[in-house]
Amino acid sequence: MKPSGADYLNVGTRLTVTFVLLMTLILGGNGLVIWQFNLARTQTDRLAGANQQMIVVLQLQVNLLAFHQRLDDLARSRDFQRLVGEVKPLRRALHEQTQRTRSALASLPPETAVDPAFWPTLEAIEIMLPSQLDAIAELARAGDWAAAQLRLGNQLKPVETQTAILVDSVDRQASRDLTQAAEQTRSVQRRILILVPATAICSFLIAAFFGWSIARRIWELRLDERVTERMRIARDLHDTLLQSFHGLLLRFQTASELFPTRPAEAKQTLDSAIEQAAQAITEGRDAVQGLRSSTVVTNDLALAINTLGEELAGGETNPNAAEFHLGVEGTPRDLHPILRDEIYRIAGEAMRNAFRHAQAQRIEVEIRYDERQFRLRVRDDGKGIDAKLLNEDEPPGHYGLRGMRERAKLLGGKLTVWSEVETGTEVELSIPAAKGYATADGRRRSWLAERFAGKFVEKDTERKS
Amino acid sequence: MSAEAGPIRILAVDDHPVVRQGIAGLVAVHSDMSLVAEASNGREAIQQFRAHHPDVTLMDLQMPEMGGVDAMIAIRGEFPEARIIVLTTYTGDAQVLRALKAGAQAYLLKNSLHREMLETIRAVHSGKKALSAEASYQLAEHATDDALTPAEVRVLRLIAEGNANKEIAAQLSISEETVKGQVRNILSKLGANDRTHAAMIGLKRGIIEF
Repeated sequence: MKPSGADYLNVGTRLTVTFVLLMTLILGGNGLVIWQFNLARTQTDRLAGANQQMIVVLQLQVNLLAFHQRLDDLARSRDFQRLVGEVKPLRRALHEQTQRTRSALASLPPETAVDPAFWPTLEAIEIMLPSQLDAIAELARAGDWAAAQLRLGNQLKPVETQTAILVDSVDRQASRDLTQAAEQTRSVQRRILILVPATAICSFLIAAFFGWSIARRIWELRLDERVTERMRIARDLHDTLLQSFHGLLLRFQTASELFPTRPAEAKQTLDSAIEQAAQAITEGRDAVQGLRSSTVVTNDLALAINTLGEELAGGETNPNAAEFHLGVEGTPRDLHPILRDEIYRIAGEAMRNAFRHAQAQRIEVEIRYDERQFRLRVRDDGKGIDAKLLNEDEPPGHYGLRGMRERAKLLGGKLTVWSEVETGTEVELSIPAAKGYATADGRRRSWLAERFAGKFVEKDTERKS
Repeated sequence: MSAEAGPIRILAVDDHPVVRQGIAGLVAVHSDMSLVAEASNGREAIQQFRAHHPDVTLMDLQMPEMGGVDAMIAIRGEFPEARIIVLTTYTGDAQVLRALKAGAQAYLLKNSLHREMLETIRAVHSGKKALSAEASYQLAEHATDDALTPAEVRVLRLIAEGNANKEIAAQLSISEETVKGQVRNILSKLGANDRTHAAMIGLKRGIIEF
């Protein structure tokens, strides 16, 4: 018999591996798609950077040309006063322009490759042009306008040429970037188009396998349960009905052999056989009852025990008219359904023993939900059991104590019996909280396992008798 | 053990009181035999045998503490002349074979006790061997079958207890592959369709017990 929760926690390697694979695939597939989007974004950034650089260099070129134009005009006007008046603002404007260019270059996206010729060009403008301005102003002051114009032509032209080359280089770089980015974006697009359906199909296939595995696992567990249940029924029948019938057969045979010569003894034998047959029927009925009524039907341990107790108290198995009382202490906790059913069976057997054999006035069942353990006690004030019969050596007519002990052990619990002649008997079943309760902790741990096994922990509704 | 003078002295071993009472009742009717002692398990049986030296012992096979086969082996070890009749609820070639190997002179099914018990007691007492018709038939039917190895019997027992291969492997400290191989052998030797079927055949033939 394997009613313990551990069996349901064990979902098998195949299920675990499949689950992990499924999760990895879903996470990995989505991760890859997100990575592709990231690649596309990088390309966009690169394009934007190239465009900005282009704008910066064009601005520089335009301003440089305007600067040259202005100086040229001034040189042609041969107006020294105007020239001197304009030199300062021109110098400032030039300085501002180079500063703007530098800061614009600094604020380009980090992926942008700044053209290596940019810095020398800027330095040339920054260092050379102010000194040329001074030199031209000096020549103008001396009235040598021709030399000033010549100097303008000779010194500014190279800077302009350098700038023009830079513009050309940046332009080529930008168009290269554009082509590359377009290419890469297309391949990203292609990859996304492949990745998304591939991930979806694989996920679907693995999920299907996963579902199939779960179904198989549930089927296996059901099968195990069925085999176990059949074994239990067979054992019960073997121990009760079959043996009674064998005994009866022997009695009938005895009576039949006695009948011709000793009819009185034959009648006695028959009478005791009838008594025995009635007992066998009771035993058989109990076994059938054990199969039929269970906590799975009522979903409530206290309710099921109370129903059984009242049934026993009202039945012919209660020759002493013993009173039945049920008490529930502590806050009722969730129990695993199979465990609950086994607890019910053990309690039922103890109760039947008490009603049938104890000759008690009062029979009490106490269910106690402690923090650390579940406890159920069946107590009577009857004739008690001889200490000798409680020993390890199971006596004949042992009231099934051995079976109860074994069942308790299978549940991970313990069955203890106290008894004293003429005082009564107390049977205690205790199960540690970790094995018995479907606690919040336990449920969190085994949530997945329970879903896999198709076992949902039902709630024992609170009930006090 | 030749007690020609007195009645046949009998020890009845069965864990079910109703069966012992039935045997006692039937034996009491016949003057050529008397029940001298009873026991409810194998260990008690050995003690009672030592105390009473019965001529014939009726021995149930399935009992708590110590089963009939172990008790028989112990008793026959100590008293090679002991004459033992095995009683059992179930037919099954493996069980019959095991009982005979352990030294039983006769094998009786409980459902034929009322008809065959007295004759069998007398036959065994006079030194004959006796097998019930049903038991002989079972033995003959499977005489040519491949017997399960002890390892396979252990696996079959765990299967019947509702264990999966992995759990069986863990309990026997062998690999899951070995268990799978043994399960295949068991299925083929027993002619079973699946594990459940194998467990049922095993129980029916007495290879494993409840």
